[in-house]
Amino acid sequence: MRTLTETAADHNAAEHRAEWPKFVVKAVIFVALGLLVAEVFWRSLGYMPGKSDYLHFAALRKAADGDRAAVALIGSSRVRYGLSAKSLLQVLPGKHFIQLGILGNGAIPVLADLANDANFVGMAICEINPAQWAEFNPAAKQPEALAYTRPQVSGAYLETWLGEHFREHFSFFSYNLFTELPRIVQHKPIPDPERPDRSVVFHDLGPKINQVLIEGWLRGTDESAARIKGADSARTLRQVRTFVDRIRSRGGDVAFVRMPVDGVLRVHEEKVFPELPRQIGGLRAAGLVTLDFAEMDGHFVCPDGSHLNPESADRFSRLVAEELLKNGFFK
Amino acid sequence: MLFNSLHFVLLFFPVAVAGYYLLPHQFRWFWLLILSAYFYMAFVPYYIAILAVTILVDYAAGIVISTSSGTRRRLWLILSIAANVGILAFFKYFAFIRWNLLEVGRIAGYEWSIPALAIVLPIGLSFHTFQSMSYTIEVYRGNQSPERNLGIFALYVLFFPQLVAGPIERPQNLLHQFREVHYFNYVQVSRGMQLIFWGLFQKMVIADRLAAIVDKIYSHPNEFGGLTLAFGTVLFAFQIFCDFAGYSDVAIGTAQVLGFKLMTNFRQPYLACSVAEFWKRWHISLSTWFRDYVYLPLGGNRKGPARHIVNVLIVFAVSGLWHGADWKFVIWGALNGVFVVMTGMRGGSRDGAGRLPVLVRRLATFVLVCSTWVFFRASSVGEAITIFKRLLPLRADQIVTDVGAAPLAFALFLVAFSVCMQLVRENYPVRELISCQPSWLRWAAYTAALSVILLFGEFHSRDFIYFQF
Repeated sequence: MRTLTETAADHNAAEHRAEWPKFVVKAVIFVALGLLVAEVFWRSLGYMPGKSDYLHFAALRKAADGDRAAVALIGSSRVRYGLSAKSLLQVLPGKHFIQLGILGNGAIPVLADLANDANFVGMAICEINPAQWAEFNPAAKQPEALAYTRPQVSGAYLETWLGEHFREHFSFFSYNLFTELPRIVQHKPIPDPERPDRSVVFHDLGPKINQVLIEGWLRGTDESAARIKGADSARTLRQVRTFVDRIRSRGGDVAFVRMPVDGVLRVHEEKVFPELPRQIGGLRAAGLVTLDFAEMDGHFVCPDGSHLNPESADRFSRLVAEELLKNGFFK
Repeated sequence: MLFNSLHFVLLFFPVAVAGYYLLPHQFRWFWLLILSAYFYMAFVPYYIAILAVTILVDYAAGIVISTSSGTRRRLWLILSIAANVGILAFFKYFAFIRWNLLEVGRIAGYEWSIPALAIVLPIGLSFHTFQSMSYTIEVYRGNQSPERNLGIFALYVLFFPQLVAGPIERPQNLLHQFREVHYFNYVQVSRGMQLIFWGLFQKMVIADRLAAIVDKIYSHPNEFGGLTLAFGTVLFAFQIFCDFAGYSDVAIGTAQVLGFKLMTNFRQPYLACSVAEFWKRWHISLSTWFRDYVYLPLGGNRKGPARHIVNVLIVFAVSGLWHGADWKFVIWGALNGVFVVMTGMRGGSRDGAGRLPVLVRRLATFVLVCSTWVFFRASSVGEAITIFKRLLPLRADQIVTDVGAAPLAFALFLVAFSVCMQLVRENYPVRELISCQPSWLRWAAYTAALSVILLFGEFHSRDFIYFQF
């Protein structure tokens, strides 16, 4: 039977089959040429392939396995900006600080992952964040970076795997002429795709942008507070203790840190999350080393209210290391 | 799986096409069925169970309807429609219905207790439910004989190119194609590939680029002036067009590479001279679905002008609700209905509007359509009203500060490009013109087009807007 889509010239099936190789060869040349043109274009301008944070996260996470000197830094963007592996290392040489903070995510899924992995025998410094603690649901989907560390049979995993490897090998996958054209025209420096230790440095873009960011954080805080209203944070605390016990049973330990917040955001967070002192008290009552920036000396500057500037991040990281040493955490 | 994902472009599609043409004809439908199930399960695997229920119910209903008569026949149609609508109502509208009942109770002073269920809407549910429903209705009407092969019927509902966002096919057009022998046809395959490239270009280069600006404006409308909000709405009009038409082109092109012919879903909608004409050019498979299965059964225009107006308004309000479980979609649909009644039912060129230049009519139609998009894109009815309140005065000085000079220039360029392409496609048989060119010129043009996608495209696989429906 002939199809609706066939034309008068399409009678001979053998003839059609003979067209296969011709088409495949043309298609391969066409795709290869297109890729080549795009790649050569970016490379000729000095752009190099980007760095995949997922691959980096996975590599660091794997590096922590079996390493008794490993100290995982876990939490949200506040940990990525505020706990510098380099600064911590200056106070505690010999330790292997591993930045496992994930932007936009709480610490507990990563803590659970470390606790449930028999190969992890190191220590962890874990952020306390009231909103993210109350929201923790062990059955919920893991943060993507964490989920990526273990191969899965799923379309989403395969897509991430392909995308991240493309990013590491092809410049065109990381850059876009729409966004880069102004930089090219103005001969501005090309972004550096280096990745020293996954710590992120806060770039202060000035009071106007910071104000917009602060307003965004304030809105986000309100949304979190509404979402976790009535949530059982005591249950999360019990789960956290279980995770810590598992890590301790392998010779490791976990310390908890409340990361600095500044200005109106701090006032607002303390108002909408009144359970925070109770959570800190609960951890201390359970014999867990818990640091609160509010009890530390000095003022830590967060230009956008939520993330430490480089100078404060360095100072805060050193103070955390000193406090942990003082508390006997690294005995 | 998204059409603009590496998973689809690098693995799924080449394997699907190669396997399809290498397999003997009798195994091809089974190959397509496996591929389609895999395609759907790449999103959330267990949702395939919902589709399985739809398939089994409508397969059985089709056979029973064809072999029975009278009340029994009608009863089975009602059962099939109730099952489909029930699935849709539960997964898509439960939260909406619950919220409305609670609000009604609150206003009436009653304390209702309706449990909240954490239901996640399966991707493309409205599309495949409607496609499946069209089968039982057509069997009931005697326009389609029942499909006895469960596998082929399942493939009709699951066929991957149009599974999650249409075009919503009719059984008369699609079912028989699964039984036909499709030979590898160079011309058809290359035309299909052209459509796929054009679709990906629209999605990755235009829609996703405009999306970044639209999202910025619509995420905090209170922070922007009237002109910026109006500009954001115009950009959204082109974003949603390029997003959905791009998806449809990839879907139609993919099917064409495999030898299938799917219906056209878009015909240069922003060149319409009235809102009524716009709806003959926009999401044609849905418009005709509502025409054939809701509007005409309600009486269409056969029961007098008043009833005609009511029918149009009902159809558009229901169409709005089909898009999303929110009053903003109902208002969006109803507003379109009002505009269709106002602009499309007055006798075309005989009225005053018909004497206006085409450009003026097109612009007026575009403005009306954009005014409805505000409800579609805003996060709530309240936010849409806020946007309308902030539209005036239109101050030109703010827009560069709000959007940025470079993004503004790029956005205007993309909009102009999209308009030009619509004009070209409206007036010239583009694909025929391309096929007339010498081979070297065509392939050079394709390579250039691919390079443009690679240089300007957005590779962070943003979902297609219509997937949520």
